[in-house]
Amino acid sequence: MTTTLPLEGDLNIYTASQLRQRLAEALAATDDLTLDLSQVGEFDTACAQVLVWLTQEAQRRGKTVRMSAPSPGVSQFVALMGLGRLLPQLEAAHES
Amino acid sequence: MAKTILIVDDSYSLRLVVKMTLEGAGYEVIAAADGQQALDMLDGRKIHLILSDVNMPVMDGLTLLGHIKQHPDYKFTPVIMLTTEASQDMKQRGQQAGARGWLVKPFEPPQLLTTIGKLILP
Amino acid sequence: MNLEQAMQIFLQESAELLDDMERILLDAEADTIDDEQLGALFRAMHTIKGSAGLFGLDDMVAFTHQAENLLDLLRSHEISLNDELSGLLLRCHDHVKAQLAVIAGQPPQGSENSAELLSEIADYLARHHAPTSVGDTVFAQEHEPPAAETGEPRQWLLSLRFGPDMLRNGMDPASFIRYLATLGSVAQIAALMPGLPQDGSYDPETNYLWLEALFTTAVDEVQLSEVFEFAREDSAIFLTPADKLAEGCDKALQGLDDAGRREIIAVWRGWGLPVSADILCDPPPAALAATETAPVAATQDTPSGEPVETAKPQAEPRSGIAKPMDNKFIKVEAGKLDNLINLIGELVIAGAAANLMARRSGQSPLVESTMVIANLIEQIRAETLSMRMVQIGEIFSRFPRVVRDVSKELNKQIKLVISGAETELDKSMVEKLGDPLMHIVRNAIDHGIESLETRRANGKPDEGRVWLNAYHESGSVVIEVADDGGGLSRERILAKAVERGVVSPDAMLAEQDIYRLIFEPGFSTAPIVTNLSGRGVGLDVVKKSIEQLRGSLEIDTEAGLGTTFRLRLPLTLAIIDGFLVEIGRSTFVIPLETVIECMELPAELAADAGKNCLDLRGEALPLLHLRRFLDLPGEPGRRRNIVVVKSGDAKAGLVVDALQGEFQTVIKPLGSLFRHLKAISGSTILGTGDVALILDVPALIQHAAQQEAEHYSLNRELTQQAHRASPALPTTTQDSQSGNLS
Repeated sequence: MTTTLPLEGDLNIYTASQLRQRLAEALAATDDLTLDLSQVGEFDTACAQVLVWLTQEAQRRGKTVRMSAPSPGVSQFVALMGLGRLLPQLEAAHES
Repeated sequence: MAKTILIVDDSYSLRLVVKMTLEGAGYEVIAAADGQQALDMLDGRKIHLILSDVNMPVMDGLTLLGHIKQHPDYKFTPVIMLTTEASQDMKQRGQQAGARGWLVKPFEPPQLLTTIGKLILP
Repeated sequence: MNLEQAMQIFLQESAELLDDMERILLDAEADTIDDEQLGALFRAMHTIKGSAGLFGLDDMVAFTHQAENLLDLLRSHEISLNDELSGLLLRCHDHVKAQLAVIAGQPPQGSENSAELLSEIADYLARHHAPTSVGDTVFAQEHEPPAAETGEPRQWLLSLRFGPDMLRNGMDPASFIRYLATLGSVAQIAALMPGLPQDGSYDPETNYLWLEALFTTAVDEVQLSEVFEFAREDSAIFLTPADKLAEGCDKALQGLDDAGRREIIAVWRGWGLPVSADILCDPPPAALAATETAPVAATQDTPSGEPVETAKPQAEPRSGIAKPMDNKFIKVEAGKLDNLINLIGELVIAGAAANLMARRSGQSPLVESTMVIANLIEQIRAETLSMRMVQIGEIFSRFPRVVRDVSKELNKQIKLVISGAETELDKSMVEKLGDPLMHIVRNAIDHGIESLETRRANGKPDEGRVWLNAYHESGSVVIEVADDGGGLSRERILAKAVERGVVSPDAMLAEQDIYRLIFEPGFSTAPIVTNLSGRGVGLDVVKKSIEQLRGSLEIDTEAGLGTTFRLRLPLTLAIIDGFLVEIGRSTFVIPLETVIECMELPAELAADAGKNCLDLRGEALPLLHLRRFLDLPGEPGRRRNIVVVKSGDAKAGLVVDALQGEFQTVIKPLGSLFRHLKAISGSTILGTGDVALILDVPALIQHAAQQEAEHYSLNRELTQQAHRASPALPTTTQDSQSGNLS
């Protein structure tokens, strides 16, 4: 049973620390976390990093992280920066 | 949404030409005549880039930069300093204050567009 | 807004900056100069240089660049201000001013040659300052031209190891990629984060992102490299052309740790790049530790730990000459202000009409309403008029320079003392006053202040003094130019006047009249004609200008001590507070500020038409019977009144019929047909719709005094002659009988 966490608004360097905090807490609270990215506005490197970190952290802890319904802002950023390798869930979600 | 650029320079004609040039390229431009006015404009609105002269009355560019770096909403906004070339010392002081980008005066409008384009496209 | 208009603004702005620069330099000669002023000097040239560059004015850029260098050294105290440097800087100022004039379309003034002035600057620096990198005569252009297609497309391998502070500095790696996309096409791109901490030390605001990309573009290497100019400080950027892949890869991998190299190679492999097996081996440990090729992020700063400089306090107003540049001002087109004042004039008249009708209607709520409106109109009027007022300091500020130049030319030591620079007057007057004042000041220096020898011989201090003073007095602006020179010589003036045939040899002239002779055309008592003011064309032009401003001139002089020229100008041009009087069927307006008191005409005087004088508490007050003077039809009424008016020190009593009280109105200028009426200064429309003429009080007073003088003159004939010779003075009594106002 996955816990879904919607992420809304602009995810950029100003909100990156906050995002990390939020995700860390969410990850601590569940074994299966799904991030709903449909409402994300701006998306930048800082927050992409947070997601990469989350992915790696989840792996270290043996937990599962999914990312669903990336907004255009997110998909375009991932494509632009070749982040598919580091964020395979997004690649998958995008393709589906 | 168009990207917003703040130009801070005590020369009215420079602000004017910069505004015309950048708006022509599709940016939105707001302007301030000195560091203090610029600070007053940091009121929560989205600013994607700040161009600031170094030598201004009331509050100079480096002091402004110091304030920007302390401002929770703007400390990560890229700042390009406009300055003369003959000051290596200035560049060092600027770097210590957190400036990473420099545009040497005098510059012409096409150069301005190229430089800014590297940091933010309209 | 187009480039033309922007150019105009540039010209205006530069002119203001140059004025500031000049003022500071002249101030500095008297006192010591402070850091703020040095900074302002620097900024003047710096700003002009920057703006000139925007318009592609290369010559100006080149010149101001050198001047700026000089001023940079000055403000950092590596050189200090002295007479020579000051003079040099003033010449730089003049040169830039001349350059601006040429750009503005004015004919070249034949000023200094750029090259000569530049070499003088270089020479000065060589003598006073150890040569540094300042001496760059060729202005090094650091900018690359906009990326142009320079050839066929080439493929590049980009290895971009962005540094940890990129994000904090506002430079998202994504920006560079987006920009690249405008220069070519990205065939492949992969993001790597080999440095992303696996423990709790991950900092979301630190950058860990590296990029590898295959990029096809036609721009050359230099331009491609320039794309990353803002990343260079803390990042490692490797650009490898496709034909140099082997060495490029080698280089790009040096200094990386194991994990990093592996990841990158994996990416390259994935793209089918021919990566040789050699580089899969770990490099020798020494190379790892050295990290020569990977630039060390040279950041010593942490934004949070750095003390923030306290903002400089808001600029304080400088004492002394008023400072025109100020952030709190808005520039307004003068034409717009004039329109506004016209409208307000109409509003005043309309308001008066409404007021009148309200009173006639007798409905008190209505009367009250219109009074409220009238009150507001009054306030708006006052505020708007004050907008047109500027400080006289604007013209005064030219004078230190003038005095300096003239005194150097004439070899006299002059000190200029300015006071009352904050005195306000109407903007339109300020522009017209400049030249007349200039002439008077030049005259004072040239003829007033004696030569050094003469002064010494008379026990006077070596340094001559010239005072410029301004103040308000009973509705007028008074401007004084005084000197401590030799004073005007009545005898010499009279002699000259007789010699020139301006007056007849036996003329008996009042003192002021004699002095006023110097304003006659072609009149100059200077024994030697200097190229400045000895030609005798200066002062009569001055007189005309002052008259055009409806002003008057007084002269105080004392032999051996000095001379004071006193200009008196009306304060407001457009709207006045007036005092209404009736003469016969006509209504006239007397400017309220000239009115001292009113009284009934004593019976004795009424009876004796010839008596033109009243004993006002011991003072002799000349009277002017306006009905007669203005040649108005009808007989004087039984009850008449005297309005005592003054202008400067002179007083007169104007005899009118009825007094109607205060009335505020707008002056409508008279048409050109009536310009030469000496006693009338304008007209206005009353609430009733009637036209009332506004009396020119100073002219009337002068005339009244004239009448008095004539009354006691020994020889009327000669007086008349004198009058004819000086057409400015009111005509003789005989003429006035018929009301001749020309």
